[in-house]
Amino acid sequence: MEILSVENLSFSYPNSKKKTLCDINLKINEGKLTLLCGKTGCGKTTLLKMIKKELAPAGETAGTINRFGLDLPTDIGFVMQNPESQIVTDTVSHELAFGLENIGVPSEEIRRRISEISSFFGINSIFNSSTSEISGGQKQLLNLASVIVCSPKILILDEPTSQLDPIAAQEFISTLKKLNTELGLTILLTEHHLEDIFPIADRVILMDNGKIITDGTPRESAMKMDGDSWMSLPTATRIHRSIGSKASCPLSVKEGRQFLSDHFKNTVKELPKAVPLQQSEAVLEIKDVWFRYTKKGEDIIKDLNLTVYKNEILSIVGGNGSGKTTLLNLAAGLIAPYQGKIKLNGKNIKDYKDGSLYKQNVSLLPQNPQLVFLKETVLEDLKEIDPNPEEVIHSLKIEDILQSHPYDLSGGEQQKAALAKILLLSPKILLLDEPTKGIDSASKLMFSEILNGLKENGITVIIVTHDVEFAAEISNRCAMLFNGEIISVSDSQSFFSGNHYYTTAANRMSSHMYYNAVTCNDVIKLIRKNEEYSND
Amino acid sequence: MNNAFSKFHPLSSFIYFVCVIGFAVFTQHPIIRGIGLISGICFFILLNERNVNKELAFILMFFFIIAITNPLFFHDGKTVLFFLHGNAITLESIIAGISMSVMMISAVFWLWCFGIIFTCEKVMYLFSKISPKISLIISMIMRFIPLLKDRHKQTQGCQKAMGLYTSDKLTDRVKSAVRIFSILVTYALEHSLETETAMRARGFSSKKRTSGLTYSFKKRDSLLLAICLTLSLALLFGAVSEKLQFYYYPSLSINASYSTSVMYLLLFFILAFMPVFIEIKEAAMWKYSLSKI
Repeated sequence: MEILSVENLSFSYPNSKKKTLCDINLKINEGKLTLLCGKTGCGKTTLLKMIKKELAPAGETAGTINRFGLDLPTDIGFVMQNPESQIVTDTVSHELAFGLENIGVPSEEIRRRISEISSFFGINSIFNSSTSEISGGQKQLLNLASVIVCSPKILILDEPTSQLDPIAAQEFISTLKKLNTELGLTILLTEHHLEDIFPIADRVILMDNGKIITDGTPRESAMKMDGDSWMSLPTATRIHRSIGSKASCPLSVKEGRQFLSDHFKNTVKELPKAVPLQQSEAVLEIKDVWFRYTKKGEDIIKDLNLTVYKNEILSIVGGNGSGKTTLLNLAAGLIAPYQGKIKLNGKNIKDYKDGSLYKQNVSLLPQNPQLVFLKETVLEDLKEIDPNPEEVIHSLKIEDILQSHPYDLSGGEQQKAALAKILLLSPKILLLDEPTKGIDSASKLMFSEILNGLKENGITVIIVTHDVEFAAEISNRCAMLFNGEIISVSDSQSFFSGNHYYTTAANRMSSHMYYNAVTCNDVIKLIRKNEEYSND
Repeated sequence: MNNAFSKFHPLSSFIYFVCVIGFAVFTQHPIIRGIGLISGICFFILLNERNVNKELAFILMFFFIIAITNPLFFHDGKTVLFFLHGNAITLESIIAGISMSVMMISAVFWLWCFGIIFTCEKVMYLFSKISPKISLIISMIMRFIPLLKDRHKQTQGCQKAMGLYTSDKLTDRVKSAVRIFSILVTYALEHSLETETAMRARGFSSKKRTSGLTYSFKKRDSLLLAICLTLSLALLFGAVSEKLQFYYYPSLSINASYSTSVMYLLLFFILAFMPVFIEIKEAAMWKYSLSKI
């Protein structure tokens, strides 16, 4: 049954000639999980906001939106991108009650409903916590729960997982799946990274330039997605598309494994081993370092040893709370170990006085790029470091965002602008904390090109990340941080092919046939090699 | 938090605190003040929430300063102990000083106990009975403060790692603080816009709000309230009829007869030690319930 229909909807923002939405026709049926994708700025967020009456932006509107039986403001639940800014109150329990208080539900019933929802979401353990002490993933789950508690008839989510780490994102998506299958809730969402959401969607709509260009089942839409949207597809689907197979398109790792075994041979089982990078001079040496935040607290970093060589990209991967950010802060000299030494170019970082550590030496790009900016426009911010920032601006191609306020930029643009400011310090070692968080696939690709360019120019890059796919693509070496220790370090190919669970989707999909295929391209190369081999 | 007294309904425990602190602070009687202090300390120890060694040092200092300065500045009283630079130091003045500091310290302890028992949620509950909007505003402020603090810390770290205004010079430090403050204002505005959107999306409007906070008012709550109000009314009667009056100057004296005084002191003793009795009773009941298994 139809719950929502959009007919010939067009919209343009005031003072803008361009139509943000152009003749949109859309029907949403009850109980379906619909995925809306498209690159940044294609109008998907505007469309979602138009559907939610209370959030509809002001501007020139034509066409109609019919909402069937969606009268209360809480009948359409809306979850936004940033977990932090949607939280209104100071405690988890009050946050859950907030929506119900708004629509005047009696106290006793509020009690019952929030306890019910807390059990359904498995957030009983944080029920009495204050909202400032829970993790980002928990915050977003709380936002979802406090929308669901008002029993909406349709749930709309605007890139809900973009600010979460991959594990929290997976948990969030499996909760959505649970809501959809167990409660039959209608869900409409947009998402950048489709690896996990694609296989569970009932329908995928692709938008470009304010228009709907494809609309169909995930399998149908996957065959029609090109360019930037192609890059965000699940690994299995991308491999299928790249080799131009006629077989049915796999969407998940499970289907991908089946697809490989059914259609390809594995006479050639491995790619030639990557040539190890020459172990040039060590630029950063971390020796037997111990660290904890408080005197009686637990050690966050335990007896950690790590050497970083000149001109390499090293990725440090590991789960939440493994000490990744702490390690980066140690390397940046923001905190000091209570035992052990950290040497930069052979000199203890304690001996760099008066900020000399940060001048043409080490720079840190924090997890949240917004923190880098303090001025009204990007250009002013850049000029603060160097009055002549033209060269960096040109090399990062950020000419058209210079006059914008840093807070108005998209995630990818913010990341680039922040990197520009950091690069003006002409660092020799660049420390990046979760650089791929909150940016779309196209920006991710561009970002890795930029990093490779920096490497060519002799800059050493250390990345801490959750994003194993990105780490596999970009790094020379990878290190695994677990429980405050470096568990293993090796070149990225052998690192990920040696792992069974903590590895890329391409590796998980192909490990039954090929030994060391870690990225999409590796798998494709091996498939081609096997084809050549059998043709000969 | 696991104590017996916090299980009472916020309204009855709030009224209780108001009564005890009121009498302990506004009566002149040194013994009432003394009872207030001892009961406050006992209650605090039973609640045993946090380590207060540092504060205790401060309190002792406070105690001595007030106890000493009073006789230095007030020279009334009949019993002169000795002369200091030609000024009489009297016994009455010393006792008045000690009594005053006892009063202040007992207020501190009682307020600490109040802070432990009265979690944010209970305060909000009381306010929500007056107006749900006020309670929401308090809650939003409580949410905002740690958020802003966190953001400040992060921004500071990030700016330091860029080597901007990070030397130890005073000018640099001031400049850095001003810069960070200005961006925090921007962030706060930006954040509140987004929060406002989220609030609207969740149906926040002028419609009448309810509050999700509930505490049920049980028999024990009415009992506590009844005892507390009876004792307080009796004490109030004593205070109004000046039976509780205590004079420090010119010599220590009381208004009422000895037996009347003892009766009033006993009433206050029961009032002030009530939470201590309740805590001990509950602990004993718990032990007893264990022994029966």
